[in-house]
Amino acid sequence: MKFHNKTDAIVEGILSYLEEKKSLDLLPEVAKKLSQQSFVRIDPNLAVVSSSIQLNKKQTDEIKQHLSRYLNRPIRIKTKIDKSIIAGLKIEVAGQMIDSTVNRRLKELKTKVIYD
Amino acid sequence: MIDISKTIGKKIDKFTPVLKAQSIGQIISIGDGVALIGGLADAMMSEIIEFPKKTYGLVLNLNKHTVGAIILGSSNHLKEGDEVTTTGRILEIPVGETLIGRVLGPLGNPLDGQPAPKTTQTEALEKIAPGVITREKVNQPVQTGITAIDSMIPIGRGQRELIIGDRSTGKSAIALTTIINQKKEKLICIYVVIGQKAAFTAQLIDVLKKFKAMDHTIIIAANASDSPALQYLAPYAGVAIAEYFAKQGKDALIVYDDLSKHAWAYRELSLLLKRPSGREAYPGDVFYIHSKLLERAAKLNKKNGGGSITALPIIETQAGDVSAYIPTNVISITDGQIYLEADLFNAGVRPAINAGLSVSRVGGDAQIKAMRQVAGKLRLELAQFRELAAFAQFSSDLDPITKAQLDRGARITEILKQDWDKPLDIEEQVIIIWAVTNGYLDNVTVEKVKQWHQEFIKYIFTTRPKLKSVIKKEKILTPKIIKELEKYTQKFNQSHPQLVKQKEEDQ
Repeated sequence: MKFHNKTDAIVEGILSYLEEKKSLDLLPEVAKKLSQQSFVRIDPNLAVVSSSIQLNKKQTDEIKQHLSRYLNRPIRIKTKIDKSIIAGLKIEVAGQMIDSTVNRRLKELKTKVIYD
Repeated sequence: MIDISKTIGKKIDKFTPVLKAQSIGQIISIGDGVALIGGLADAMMSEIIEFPKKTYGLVLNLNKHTVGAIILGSSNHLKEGDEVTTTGRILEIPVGETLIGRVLGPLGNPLDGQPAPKTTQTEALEKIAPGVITREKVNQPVQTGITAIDSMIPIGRGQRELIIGDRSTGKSAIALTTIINQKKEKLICIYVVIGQKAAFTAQLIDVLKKFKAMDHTIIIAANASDSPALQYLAPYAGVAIAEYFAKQGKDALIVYDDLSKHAWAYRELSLLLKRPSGREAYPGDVFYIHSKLLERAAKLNKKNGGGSITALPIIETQAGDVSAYIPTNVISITDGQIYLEADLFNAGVRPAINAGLSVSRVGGDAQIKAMRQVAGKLRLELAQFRELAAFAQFSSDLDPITKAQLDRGARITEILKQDWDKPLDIEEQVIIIWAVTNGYLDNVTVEKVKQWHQEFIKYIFTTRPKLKSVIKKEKILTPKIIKELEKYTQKFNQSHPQLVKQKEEDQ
């Protein structure tokens, strides 16, 4: 909740600054720059693991171990629950993606049937 | 219905998902066929990247946190936030013998309504040109069938000869005549259409089919309505195909029609990719895109198969300005240029070649001896004539020497006039140039030169049918052949008084 308030404060600050300078029309430009920055701010040591059900401690530890060995550095893990992936795991780390979800396979199958 | 579900079933059966780590990114912005992508940290220069729905792109810019790419094909379904993955491949085009006679897009997709040609190999579009060790001096001619070119500006196999001139001065016609003339020459022709009207491409196909020249020709077309990305890639696709044939020891001829539009397409892409612009808003590497392309034209030595790629780039000038940016660039890269002039064209001199400004820096070595023998001073004489003719307009009294020079020049000009659809054999060219430079046409009125030409060729090859093969075999005019020519030309002039005016009338 505290984080939420902080974000609100920042957004409010930016908006009032732009209003004061009579430059609210620059808002799309600001948004564009921010979205570019979001790619810059990728933490190379943080892996985002998405699954359809909550992973237990043992599972996350195992993933952490495997990834640390694969990338040759200690990796932190953030888990996410995404029902749309149906089953399997999606791991995003340092601009790379390891995707073994059913959703992905179905999508691949769809492109294959349509375009090949 | 059953068939469709069966095929789908089969495809599903064959599907095996592969699990691998993929480099991913997201589209930050997209428009005008250019995309800015965030992420994709592993992307390489000139790598193919994949957008949703099997759409591909080509990486052209690597920035600190973003990647600039051009989209190959339609980009209407792509939007911000779409996922992009790397493929680890570079751009390639399928190549093979089956391509001959086909009309293809720059990515190898058929444009002639027929199924895609069956091929087993591919060639990379971007490749480093053959090095010094693999090359050899140009030593074999490309017979264009155009008297003015084969005599004064000879082109050799492996040469790069620029065709330059204003709009509608017959630039494409020269390339077309050359292709039509290659029926017997075992030269595979590739015509790259860049940014032209689709109607031009359609007309080109019709003409080549009419002359049965499609049997040795491949057309690569990126028309004006195609995306600038495709227009930019078209010449590289063409030269990749030519390289496939050259590797097998064959000779290929490639026409780039035209490189001005290629430079425009590249300028458009570069400006959209926000690259800094220089003179005439072209990016800094506009010279390099043409030099790396034209360097791939080469004559390979025996060790490397002995094949060759001859390049005929075309440049369109604006109001005759050859000192503009792109024309000067390409002039400096190529081994000579054929300069076409609008004034000559409008005066009825077709092909409208300016003999003074046109040169061939390496083709002379490849010219056959017989032609070198007769055409030695032709270029100089013609250039002098043009200057003299301009000067003589102001004076009525001319000394006999000047007048003779003018008369000879007028006849030479007449002999060099030629319809684009009538390429001449080299033997015929040699005989006719021999006749005009030795004064056998001095008594023929300028209006009748064409008729004299046609009748004489008919006469000499019917009375001396072996002459053609003798010249072809000997490749030189021996004293014996010259004597024979003298005899028969005199006989012809005597027996055709209607073509040759009498000496008395001349006074």
